[in-house]
Amino acid sequence: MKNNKWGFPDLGFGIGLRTVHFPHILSREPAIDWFEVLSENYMDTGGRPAHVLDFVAERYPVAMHGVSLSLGSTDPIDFDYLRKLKQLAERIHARWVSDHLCWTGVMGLNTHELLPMPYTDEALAHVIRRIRTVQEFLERPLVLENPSTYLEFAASTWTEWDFIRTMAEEADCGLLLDVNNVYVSAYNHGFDPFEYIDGIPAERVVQIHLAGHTNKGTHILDTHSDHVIDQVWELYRHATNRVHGAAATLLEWDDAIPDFDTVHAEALKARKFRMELLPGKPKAEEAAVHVS
Amino acid sequence: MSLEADLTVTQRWLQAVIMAPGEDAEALESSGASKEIPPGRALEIVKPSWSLTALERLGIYRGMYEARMREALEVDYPLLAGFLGPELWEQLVSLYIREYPSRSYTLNRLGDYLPLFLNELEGLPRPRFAADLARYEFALSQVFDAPEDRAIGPADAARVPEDAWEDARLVPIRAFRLETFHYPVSRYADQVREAPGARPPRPKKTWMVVFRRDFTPLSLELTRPAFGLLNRLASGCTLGEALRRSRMTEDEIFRWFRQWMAEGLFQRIELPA
Repeated sequence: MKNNKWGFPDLGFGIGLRTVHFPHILSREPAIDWFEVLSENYMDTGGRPAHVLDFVAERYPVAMHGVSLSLGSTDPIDFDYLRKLKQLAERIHARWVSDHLCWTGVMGLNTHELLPMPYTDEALAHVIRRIRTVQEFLERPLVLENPSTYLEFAASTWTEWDFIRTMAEEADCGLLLDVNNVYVSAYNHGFDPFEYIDGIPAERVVQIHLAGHTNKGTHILDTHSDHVIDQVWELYRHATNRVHGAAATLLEWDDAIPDFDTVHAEALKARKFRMELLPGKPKAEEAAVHVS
Repeated sequence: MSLEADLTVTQRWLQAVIMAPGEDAEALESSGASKEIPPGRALEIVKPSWSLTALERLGIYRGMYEARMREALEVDYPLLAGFLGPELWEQLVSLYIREYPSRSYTLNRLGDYLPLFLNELEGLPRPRFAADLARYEFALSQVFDAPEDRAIGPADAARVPEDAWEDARLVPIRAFRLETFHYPVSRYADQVREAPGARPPRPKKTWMVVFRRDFTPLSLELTRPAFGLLNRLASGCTLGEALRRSRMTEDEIFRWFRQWMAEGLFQRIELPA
């Protein structure tokens, strides 16, 4: 089996740790391969979220996923934020730390939206510089996700997948391939999602995201509010084939969140695709139900 | 203009458009946006899609921004949002985020200035009650996130020599806030939980401790003398000094201390060296 560049483990099929599932997780300790936690939700709290996170991190593999690194911003890098991010990653033994190829604010403000980058040479050089700085500070490779976007800049001279490939290779970072985001952006901007996935350097893909979305007709919103649609499963199949099953799979569900078992069952649908393509690799190799 | 400045200008412009009030077209002409890109050139920055104009594509981000801010504030201020109703709440959030936009990496801090903002705002129905609700809910959110401390119990108290109590200091847990209100806001919260849409209460001066037990934010109404005693203890007075300044009877003092210990309000007893 091929592996990703850093040998990050294929953790199997996980879901995002969400507040509504805390009671279920604490009382049942459900059998699940791994959890992804939203970094910012746990960086500044000493209350129940921190307690639950420690409980989870003692029992399951955990990866951190952030939304406020604002990697593409022209504001200075926030090293206070990075310090807390690093401390949290060390405390919970995060397998890896991810965020998005985007910016969330400038001039000291934060819109809390994953805003698109213009895909230009200047933006590419800027992002590569920042990734290197962040990786040096965190002392680990950063894993970056392709965002869902709703507008394109006229100044862009790169396709998103060429931009990401060059960025990842030049900055030597990992990738979180969100196949739902690929579908959403492909619909919104009119490109071929399969061409996009073929353009991503497979050996750098550490993790794959799956999610549902909301189709408004004229555009799709990445709402994480529903089941994964068939077209996105097809993209997942394609992506899994490209990465030879070396990437962990994570199902995101953030709005109108159903009970734990429903969300987990949606994540486990991915196993079927994995088994079709990689019959000798039915489940996570390293991750067990509980961390020993 | 350097190439890096081009990215800077693009980002400043897009952020200004997203955060500007009013209609989408007006956002292009807002002072923040027009300072970066002349309104007449603005739509050259963004490409139209197969189904949407450039302005409509910008409108998606504008709509998502406000909706996210509203949702985040509603998590911290559900009582206030419910009291105001959807229309007034939307207007309040819209005004608030223009005055106090997020400057933090976490949305948990977005509502920190809402109690202050309500004090400055005119035109709200029952403004004192609304301000009380905001301060109450802010205190709850603060104790929700405060660091966890082990609360002391009767066994810890029993280890203190009798003659040491006079100079002992009781240190509250960090998930602890003392508040006074013009209205009985926690009773209103109980009523709303049982019957959403409950009528606001009549004014009644209320003294309260907001705290956390078993990771759940709670509040306890106090009498005025009990509030005074607890306030003095929390401010670092010795037990002897705090009690000397209290007008409570011995029975009342014992009753309150029993309850405070049962609720886990103190993390340590400090004795003089």
